[in-house]
Amino acid sequence: MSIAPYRTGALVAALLVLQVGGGAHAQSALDAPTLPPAVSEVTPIHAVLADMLGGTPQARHLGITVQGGWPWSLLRANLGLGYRLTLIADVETALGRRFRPTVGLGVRLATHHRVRLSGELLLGWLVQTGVTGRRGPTGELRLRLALLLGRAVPYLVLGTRHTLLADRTVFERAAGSETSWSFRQEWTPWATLGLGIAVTRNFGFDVGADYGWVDAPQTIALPGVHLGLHFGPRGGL
Amino acid sequence: MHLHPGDWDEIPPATQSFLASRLPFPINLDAPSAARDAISVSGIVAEMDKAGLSGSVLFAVYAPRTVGIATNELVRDDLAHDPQRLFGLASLRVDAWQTERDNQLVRLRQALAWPGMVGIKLAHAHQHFRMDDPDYFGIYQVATEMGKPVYLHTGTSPFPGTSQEPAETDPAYLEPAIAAFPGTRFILGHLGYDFSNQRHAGLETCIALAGKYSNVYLEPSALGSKGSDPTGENLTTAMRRMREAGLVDRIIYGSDGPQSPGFVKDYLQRTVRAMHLGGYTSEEAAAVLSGNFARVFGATVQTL
Repeated sequence: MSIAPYRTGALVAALLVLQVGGGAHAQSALDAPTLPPAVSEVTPIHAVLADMLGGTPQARHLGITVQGGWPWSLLRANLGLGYRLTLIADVETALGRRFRPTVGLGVRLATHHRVRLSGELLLGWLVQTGVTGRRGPTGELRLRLALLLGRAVPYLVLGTRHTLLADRTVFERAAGSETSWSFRQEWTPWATLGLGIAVTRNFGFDVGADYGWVDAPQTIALPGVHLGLHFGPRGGL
Repeated sequence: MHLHPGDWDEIPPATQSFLASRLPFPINLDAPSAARDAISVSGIVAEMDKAGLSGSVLFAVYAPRTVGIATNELVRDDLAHDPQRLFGLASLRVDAWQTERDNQLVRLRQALAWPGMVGIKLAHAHQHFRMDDPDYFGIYQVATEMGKPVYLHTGTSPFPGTSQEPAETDPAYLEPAIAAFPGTRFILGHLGYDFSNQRHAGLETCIALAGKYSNVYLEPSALGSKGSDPTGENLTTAMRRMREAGLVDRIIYGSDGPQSPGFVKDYLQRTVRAMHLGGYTSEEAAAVLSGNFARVFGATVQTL
């Protein structure tokens, strides 16, 4: 059996598309009477940053972020679930003294070839050590907006974090001890403004300024900066 | 005057937590390191330099249940860091007064004899004893005999465990001691300010006492800080009222602190502004900032 040269090219291109995008794309490519779009058009150079800074990768695509900074550092994984949904796992620390592991869901709210807007809901546990130690269940709602401008991806994250803190007071009396509980909320409004630079389709980095006003409004918080490394997307999980 | 050196480990846990909560995030995550830098003598001198202060008074404190302990020995050692610019106030324990009184008074006398120790520091609300309790008047007797002024914290205090009882906070309760020891100079710290409610509670009492007794002096520290007086109105009111009462020569500047980086400089600026708004002449301001202190404590304050 012989295969015409243009058919060979179409098959190779279709296999590449299959690797990147999934079966549905492969089928349409095979059926296409002409050459399919090049790989670079299917997977833009900013793909990894769109998924990690703008949120919500495609179904079965996994992205990883490793971020270091002052005072905030984190490790995050985003796994696309399909139907615009993303599973998020996130471990954040401030100076190795405040830790917040969370899991949650992200949903793509708006998409455009130049814009990615996502909403995320995370639930987890806060542990802070030292003199100002505290611990309790925590949750966060946040919005991610990324502008996809080729290799450059400026982005903004706005969030509101809430942690329930319990205080236990024990009164030691001659007749015995008495324990009472009181509860309060720690509110942390959050903003990050940064710029991501795509190096390859599977790797990019970003620098950003973070402002987490921990225990607002009765406290003072200093802003921070970070450098993030982003890996992915890795499809076919 | 009025700066607190110290040892973080000698501060009760509740007060450590309180102090840490006043630090900005994320500095408060490692409060011990931040505090050790701030309350070390080198940290204090650095804050003085930042503020342009030529001299300061370091306070010893013995309040193990509230603000902690900064010993006379610690202050003595800190004074050696810069004896031309640093002066000290000695203090004593009163928490086992019935059994330790004589011993404590002897130790106080010894500390007052050390170079640079220019007076005595007491804080009834932090140390939990009444201002009018004659059992403690032996302290003023020592002050009289050694010619040392006594600085007294007056008013409430935000620190955990501090007494809020009028007999331990209201300067009116000091009148029996002031009257009984006319040869002792009493410096009423904080002007009886109510730090819990951020309002003047004892200002008029302090002014009345200073008007009635020539051995009473006034020190407006801490009450005019950003936290205790966000608009600056309370400090301005205090400075204006003291001047209206003809008591400029009784006012001794104090800031308290060091609290946080920049606090000492900021408090000086707020006080200068309050004096400007209160109509002080430059000569009156100079007396408040250094001249009155030098006269009352017999200290030589250098010009930077």
